[in-house]
Amino acid sequence: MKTKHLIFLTSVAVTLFIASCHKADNNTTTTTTPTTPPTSSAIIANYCTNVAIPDYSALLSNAQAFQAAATTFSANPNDNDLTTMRTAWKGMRTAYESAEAFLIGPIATLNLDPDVDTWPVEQNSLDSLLNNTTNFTPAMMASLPPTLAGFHPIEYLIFGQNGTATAADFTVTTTPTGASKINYLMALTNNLVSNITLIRSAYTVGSSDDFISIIENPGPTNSTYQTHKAALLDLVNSMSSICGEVGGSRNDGKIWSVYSTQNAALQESYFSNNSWADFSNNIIGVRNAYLGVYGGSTTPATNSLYNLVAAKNLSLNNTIMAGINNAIGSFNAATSIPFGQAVQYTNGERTQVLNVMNAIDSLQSTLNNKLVPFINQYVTD
Amino acid sequence: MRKQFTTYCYLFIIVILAASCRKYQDFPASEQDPRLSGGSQTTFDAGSGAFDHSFEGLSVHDQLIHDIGDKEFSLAFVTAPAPLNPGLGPLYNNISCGSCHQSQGSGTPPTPGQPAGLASLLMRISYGVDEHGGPGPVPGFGLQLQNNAIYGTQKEADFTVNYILQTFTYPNGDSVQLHKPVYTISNSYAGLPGGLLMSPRLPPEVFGMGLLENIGDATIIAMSNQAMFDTTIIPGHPNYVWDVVKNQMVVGRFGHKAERSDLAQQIGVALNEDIGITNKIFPVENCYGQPQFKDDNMHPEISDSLFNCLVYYLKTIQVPARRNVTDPTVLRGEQLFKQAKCSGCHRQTIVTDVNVAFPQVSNQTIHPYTDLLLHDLGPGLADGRPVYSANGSEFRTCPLWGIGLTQVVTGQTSFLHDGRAATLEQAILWHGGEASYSQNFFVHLPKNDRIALLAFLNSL
Repeated sequence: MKTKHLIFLTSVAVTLFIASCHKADNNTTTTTTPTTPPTSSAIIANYCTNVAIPDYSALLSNAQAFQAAATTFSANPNDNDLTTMRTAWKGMRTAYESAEAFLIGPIATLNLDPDVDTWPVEQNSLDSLLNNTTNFTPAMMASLPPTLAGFHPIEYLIFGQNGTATAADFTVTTTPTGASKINYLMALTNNLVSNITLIRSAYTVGSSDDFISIIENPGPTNSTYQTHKAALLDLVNSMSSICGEVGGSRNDGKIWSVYSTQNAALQESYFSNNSWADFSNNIIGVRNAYLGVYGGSTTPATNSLYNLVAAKNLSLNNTIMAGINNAIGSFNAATSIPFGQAVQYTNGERTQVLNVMNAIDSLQSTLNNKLVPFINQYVTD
Repeated sequence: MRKQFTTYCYLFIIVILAASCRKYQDFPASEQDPRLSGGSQTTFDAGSGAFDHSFEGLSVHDQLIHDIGDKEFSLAFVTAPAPLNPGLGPLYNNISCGSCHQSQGSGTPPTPGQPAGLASLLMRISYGVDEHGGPGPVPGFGLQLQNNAIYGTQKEADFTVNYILQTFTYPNGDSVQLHKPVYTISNSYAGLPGGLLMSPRLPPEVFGMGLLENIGDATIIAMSNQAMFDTTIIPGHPNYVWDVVKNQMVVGRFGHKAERSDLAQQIGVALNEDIGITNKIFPVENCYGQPQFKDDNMHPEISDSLFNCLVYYLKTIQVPARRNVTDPTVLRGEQLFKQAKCSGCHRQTIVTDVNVAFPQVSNQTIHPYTDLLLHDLGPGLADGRPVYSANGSEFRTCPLWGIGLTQVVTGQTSFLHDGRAATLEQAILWHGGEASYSQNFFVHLPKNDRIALLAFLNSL
C-alpha cells in the first residue's frame, strides 16, 4: 500500500515536472542574462540574415510553388489540384503576413506591398474583365489597378465567393468562360511572382533596390539611416505598427472594423476564410523580429533584440515576451470558428475576438511605451 | 498745487500700468526648443513612419475617429456596389489617398517617356476663368485630367513627361544636372481646345495640416504686410479663393497655389477629382455631363461620417521634430539660410490662433518654414496657369518642416510642385523671381557653406 502511494506521488511529481518543462519551452522566458549584450550592428545584421532573408526567400519559393500548382491545374482543372493550389496560396500568405511585421525599406517605399496585397478586390471590374477578355498580356496586367492584381484576386478566383469555387468553374464554356479564368489566373500568378521577386531582391546585396547595404551601414552619408539607433527604431516601430493594423480595440484595426460592424464581407482574405491565419502570422512576425529568428523557432538568436533587452532590463524582456506570447496564444482560444463567423456569434466567440484585440493592443503599448524608450536610452550608436 | 499733484499721481499710475502691460512678452525664441517643429504636437520618430503619428492628448473617442480616418486614407476604393469602400470613378487618377501620398509623404513623378498611369503626379487643366475668377473648366474635361477610368470606361487622356537636361555650373566650376519637364497629352477621348493651360501637381506630405489650418487669416495678412517695415521679409500676398461652403471669397492656405481655404474642401476636392468619390462638399461626379458619366446611385459615395473622420485624421497628424539642431554645420547652415533671405518666405516661426474648441492646435508656436503667401518664382518654374490671385509664375511658399525625412519615409526625393528636383540642391537652383537674391546668394557660397545650408534643410 505504502509502495503504491509512493509510486503515485512520484508519478505526480514527474508529470508536474515534465509539464512545467514543457511550459517553459513554449514561452521562451529564459531568465539567464547574457554576459555581453549584442551590438546594434550585430542585431541588424542578424535581422537581415536570419529573419528577413529567410522569410522573403520562403515567400518567393512558396510563390514559385503556387505558380507550379497553378500551371498543373491549368493544364487539366480538377478538384485535387484545386486543393493543392489553395494550400499553396495559403503557404504564400503565411510567409508574406509574417514579413509584414517588418515593412520597412523599399518594400514599403516602392509601393511593392500594395502591388501584391491590396484589399478589397475590384470585384465588379474583375467580373467584366473575365467576360470580355481572353488574352491577359503582361502589358495589360501592368495597366490594371492594384485592386485587380496580387494575392486577393487570385484568392477570389480559386476560392470563389463564400469559398464555393470548384474545378468545374474553370472548364465552363459560357461567359465568364473557364478559359478566361485560367488565363487571368496564370497572368495574375506570373505578375505576382515577378513582384515577389522584386521584393526578395530588396534583401539581395548589389541589387538595384538593395536595402541590406542601407540598413547595415548607417552613417552620415546614408540618406535613410544616420545611426544604428534609427534603423532599430524603424524596425520596432514597424513591429508596433502591424499590431495596430491587426488588433487594437480602440484604433480601428482590421479585427475591430469587422468586429464592430459584424460584417464578414469586410474582412481581408474573406474568400478563403484565412483571416485568423493572416492575423496570427502577423504577430508571429513580430516574435520573429524580436527573437531574431524565422521558421517557427522560439529560441532567441544570440544577436537579437531579445538578448539586448534581457542584458539591460530582464524584467522588460519578460514583459515583452509575455505580451508576444499572450497575443499569439490568444488566437488559440479564438480560431476554432472562422473569423467572419466568430464576430457574429454571441456564444462567447465575440469575447474571444475581443480578447485577441486586447492582447495585441497591450503588446503594441509595450512596444511603443517601453521598447522604443529602451532603444532610445540604451542604443547609442 | 493740489490739482497738479493729483495729475502727477494719475500720470504715475498710468506709467506704471503701461510698464506692467509691456512686461508681458512672447516667450523669447532663444529659450524655445528648436526641435519642436509642431509645437506640442511634435513626434520624435525619425524613421519611415515619421509622418503618421496621431496628435497627443486625444480622447479615446477622438482617437478612434482619427484611426478610422487613418484606415480610410490607405484603403483602396472599388467600383460600386461593393461591401467595402465603393464608389471609385468612373474617372480617376488613383484609387486611394495613400497611393499618391505614400506613407503620408510626398509623391513621385512618372517614369519619363511613359504614360503617367497610376503615378502620383496629376495634371490640372483650365481654359479661361470661372465666374469667381478661378480657373475655368475645359469643356468635356473639367479642371483636371483623369488619366484612368474604371473597366469599360474611356479615360480622358494620357499624359507623359520628358525632361530636357540642363547643366548648371557654379562659379567654382562645380556643376549640377537640372531637369526641365515637358508634358505631352495624348490619346484624349475628345478634342482639347487651343490655349489650354496645364499645371502638373505633385502630392505634398499631409502631416501638420491641422496646425496650418489654425493659422488665422489675420496672421497670414499680417505676414504679407510685414515686408513694409522689415527688410528681411520678402513681400508676398495671400490668395483669395472661392469658398464653396461659405459662398464667398476667403484667404487660401492649401495646395501649391493656396487655392483652398480649409482642409475639408482640400480633401473633398481631392476625393472628387482624384478618385471620383463624391462627398458632401463636392457632390457632383467629376465627369458629370461627359459621356463617361454613369450614376452608381450613391449620393454621396463617401458617407458624411466617414468623410468627417478622414478630415479629422488629416487635422491630427503630428509634425516630425528637427534633428541635429546643435550640429555646428547645421547651425552654420541655419545662419546662411537667414543671410540668404530664404527665411524671408520660408518663415521659421508662426503662432497659431487660439482655438478653444481644439486645444491641440491652439496657440502653438510652430516652425513650418512657410508664410502661406504667394511669391513669384520666376520663369523657370512658372506653369502659366493662374489660380484666383496667383498668376502663372506664383506659388505658395512650400512648408519645409519634415523635408529632411522625405528619403527615409518615401524612399525617394522629388521636390517642387512638379517633382522635377531630385535633390534639395536642385530645388534651390530652380528658384527665381522673388527668390533670385536667395538663389544667387547660394550659388556664390563656398562649397562647404552650400553643404552646410543643405545640412540645415536636412535637419528640418
